[in-house]
Amino acid sequence: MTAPVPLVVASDVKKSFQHMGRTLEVLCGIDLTINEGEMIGIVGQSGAGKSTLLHCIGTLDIVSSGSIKVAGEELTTMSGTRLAALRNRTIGFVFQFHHLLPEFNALENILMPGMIQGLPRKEMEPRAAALLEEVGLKDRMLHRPGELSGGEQQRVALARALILEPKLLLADEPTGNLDSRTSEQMHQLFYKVNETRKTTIVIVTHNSALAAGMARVVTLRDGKVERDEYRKAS
Amino acid sequence: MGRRGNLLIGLCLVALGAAVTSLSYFHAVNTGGRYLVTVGLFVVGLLRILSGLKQDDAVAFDPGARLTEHEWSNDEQAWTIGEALGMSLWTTRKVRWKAALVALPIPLAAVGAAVGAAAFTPQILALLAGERMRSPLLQYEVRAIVASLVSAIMGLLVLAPLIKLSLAAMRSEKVTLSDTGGRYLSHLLRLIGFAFLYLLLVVVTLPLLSLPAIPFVLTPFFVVDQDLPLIEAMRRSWRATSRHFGKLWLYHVAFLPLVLIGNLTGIGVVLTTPMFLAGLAYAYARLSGRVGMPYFPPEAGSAWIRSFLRISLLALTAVFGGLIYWVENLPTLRGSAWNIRDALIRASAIVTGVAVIILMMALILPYMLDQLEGRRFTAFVAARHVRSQKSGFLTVISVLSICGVAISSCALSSVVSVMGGFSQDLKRKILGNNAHIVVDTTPGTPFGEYDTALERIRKIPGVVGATPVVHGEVMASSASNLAGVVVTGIDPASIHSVIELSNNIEVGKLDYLEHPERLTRLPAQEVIGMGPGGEQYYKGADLPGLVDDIDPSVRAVILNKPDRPGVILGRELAKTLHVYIGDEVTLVSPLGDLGPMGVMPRTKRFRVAAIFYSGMYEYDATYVYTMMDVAQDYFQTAGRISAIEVKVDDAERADRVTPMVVAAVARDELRVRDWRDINKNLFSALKLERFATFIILSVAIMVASFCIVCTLLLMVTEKGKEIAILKAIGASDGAILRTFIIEGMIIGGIGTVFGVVTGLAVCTGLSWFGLRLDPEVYYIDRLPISVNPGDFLTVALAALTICTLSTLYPAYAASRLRPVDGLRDA
Repeated sequence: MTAPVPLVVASDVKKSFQHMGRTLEVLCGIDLTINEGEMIGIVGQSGAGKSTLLHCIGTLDIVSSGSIKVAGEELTTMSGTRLAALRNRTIGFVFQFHHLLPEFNALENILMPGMIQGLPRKEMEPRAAALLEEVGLKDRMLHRPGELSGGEQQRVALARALILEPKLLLADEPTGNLDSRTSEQMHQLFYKVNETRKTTIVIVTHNSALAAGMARVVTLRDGKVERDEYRKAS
Repeated sequence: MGRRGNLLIGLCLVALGAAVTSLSYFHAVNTGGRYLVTVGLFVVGLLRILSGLKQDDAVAFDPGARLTEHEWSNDEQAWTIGEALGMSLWTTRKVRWKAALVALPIPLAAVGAAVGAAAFTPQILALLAGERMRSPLLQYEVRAIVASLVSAIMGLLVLAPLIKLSLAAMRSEKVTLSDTGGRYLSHLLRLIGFAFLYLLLVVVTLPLLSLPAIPFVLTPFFVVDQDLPLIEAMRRSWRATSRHFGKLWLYHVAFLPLVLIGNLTGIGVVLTTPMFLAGLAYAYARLSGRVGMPYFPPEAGSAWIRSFLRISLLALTAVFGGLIYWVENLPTLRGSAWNIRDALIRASAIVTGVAVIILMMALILPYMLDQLEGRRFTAFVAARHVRSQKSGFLTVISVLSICGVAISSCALSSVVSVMGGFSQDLKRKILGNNAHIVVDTTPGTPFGEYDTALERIRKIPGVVGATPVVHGEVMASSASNLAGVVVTGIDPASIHSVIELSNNIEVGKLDYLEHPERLTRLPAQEVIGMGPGGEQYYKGADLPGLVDDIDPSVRAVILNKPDRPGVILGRELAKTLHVYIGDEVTLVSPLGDLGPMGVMPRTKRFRVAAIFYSGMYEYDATYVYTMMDVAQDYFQTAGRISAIEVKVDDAERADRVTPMVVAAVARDELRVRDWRDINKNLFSALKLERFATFIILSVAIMVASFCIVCTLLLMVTEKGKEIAILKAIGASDGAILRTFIIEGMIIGGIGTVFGVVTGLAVCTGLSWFGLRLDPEVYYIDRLPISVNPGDFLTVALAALTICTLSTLYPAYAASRLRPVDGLRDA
């Protein structure tokens, strides 16, 4: 077995917000290393800082102090343009409210990250279509998000996150808005992606069924890592 | 035919159209046939290009396939104007034969009514108002009113069956012609009552464009379909349409050209009235929830709108062609009296032409947006944002900002063209009545010998002609009036090579100037003057009615008029002095001889040989031409001249010939000036005026661009979440900035292109068909227009620049949004 290669290294990450003149400490010194190919769940009570940590790793938010390295690159000193390029090439996102672009159909939504990179549409389309087939939405290719159900929208969002084959997939409560059957289907998709593509997946979740299936679960409490358990995946 | 073939044929047709247009400019021959061929080639070529560009030919929706499931409910259902237009086309196609059978009485009745009205109106009018009212115009109007009243009544008679047919087609119900007659009389009475109330409302609210009548437009459907009493039906129509007013209004606007064409041609009523009713039937079916219809995808609506626009375009082009021929057969503007019918025909030709152009642009627009979407990410997102459904307010404000830019750039380009036309007209007149280069003396220096200089000037390459002239300012008096004039002594042999005097003569002959003795023996049928409406005055007999009982000595005086030298006057001067050809005019010069009482003014009598009309009031009121030797004799400058006037082949390049003229004259004391130097003040004032107008109207575009700023800022607020998503999946700040700049540029660009092209169409139409001005007021009989592509390009560039600048702040605001804020807000 080869030695694990760290993909995300967070050391002493602190994040505070100014709110009505008071400083709110959301992350109070987080140290976390995520290795390539891992599937890791981040759990904790509301307000524990799970989403903020995910946003900081995903470069959507900047940390107040400390350092985060993704794929060997230090995020805290990077320019906005390079951060955007990193998000585009290395990171894929799946959000709780799917966040698809309402004016574009499913296929176009999936093509979007590639188009941002400037890849030709003709080249991308077969790949996007294959991904849609993989998540089981072959017939919904030309439907706009408004014409899709919640589960379908979330599967489109997953396909969009995977189109450029990112090393890191970040999911913020991906099944928070779905019923249990649809959630289960989503969970299976995540496991499958992790297994077949070896994508590193970080999922923030309240869903105990999802967390239970994962090899590593990090529990946050009041902005600190309370527990970091490795367990045998079920 | 393949896409490529269509594209190729379309491009060839458009190129051919452009060639024909440029040919017509080249020959300056404005024949109706050439216009028609040009417009026809453009429209057909464009339609070919559009079908060649078509992205997906698979977008063909058959509503019939989707109309099988019927769920009856009473709930209001959503509908769009595109669906209404599409269903109108579809239903009409489905029921056309039955509808034609039902509606056939309308054109027949209309034709009958027109024939009847034509036959009896004069008698009725004569009975009503006597001979005074028998003007052809009044008869025409009354006939039209009678004919349309009769056709409206006939329309009412077949309204109920038509409504039943449309609704049945939409519900896929089989209906026979006899079924449509059920409860016919009862419905008809209610419909007549409704028509009366509706007409009253339309007339009363005419100042509000009859908008308040629109909510009641569905009343006949409630009457016929649900058998409701009139008042209840009107109430239901009001309730059903209250939240769909804008769409119904747009539906009326969209159908306006087709309905107008149908009603004007009479035969079209068989087609357009059922079409209009079918679309309304769809709106009724949706709004009253009486037909359960499935959901139509948005692409269907836009595809239907496009086919509807295409049909309207073809119909309008046909009408435009007819109008062109009509206009060509009208009397020419110049010299003809004002006539409201002719003016209306010309105006409708212009309006129809502009409508054709606007429709063509509306058809091209989706394809242009498609092209943009096929490009990079920024253009893709921007074009999609512009065309996508937004919240109501944002849609209104973005349409308003497009309209604002369009209207202001249309106004700017039209005004610049009209001002350019005025200045070109002025230049043409100045150059026609004056020399391009003048060689004259400074005061106090005699010109001296001029023959050799004249010969040398004539040999200069580029010089068309040169002529010597003698100038002097004097007073002209006739039996009843006097005026200050400028006398120019000319050499009739060479003057025509320099100024257009001989072409401008409207009464009399240049020949009389050389042979003034003929003026004393003018024949009775000689035209000696022209009235205000262009009517000719004849000389008539010398001694009307006094032939026998007149003293022979008096008779001799009347008949044997003394010979006088001839003069040519301008039209206005002749009017002021009340003189005609052959009348005497006395010129009085202040530079007289010394007599016993001091300086005596020098006077000399002349006879009017010709009257000219140059188009410039100043020239027509002050210029007097006579023979050069006569002028030299009168001014006592024997053998001397005041100036040599030169004409060159290209007036614009007169300044290049000037140095050669200076060299040819080779005398320092003589002054050589070209027409630009002489009229420097006038032309710089015109230039300044044009520039100031350009600046002022650019401010209008700037104000319109504020609307773009608001639209984009609102868009940034509304699309905050999407901006955050785009950033989350890797769009950089710069990409978002560019996206919003492009979005603003698309909005500004659509407005600019619509505005400038509409301006171009209006100006071209005005220059083709003409807009009559009152010559008594403006001294020109039609509005001068100079259609200069450079002007339009400048306006377009200015508008695009202003619009692009206005996008910078909103785009910057969008690029500064933090992704995490947008995602959290959602």
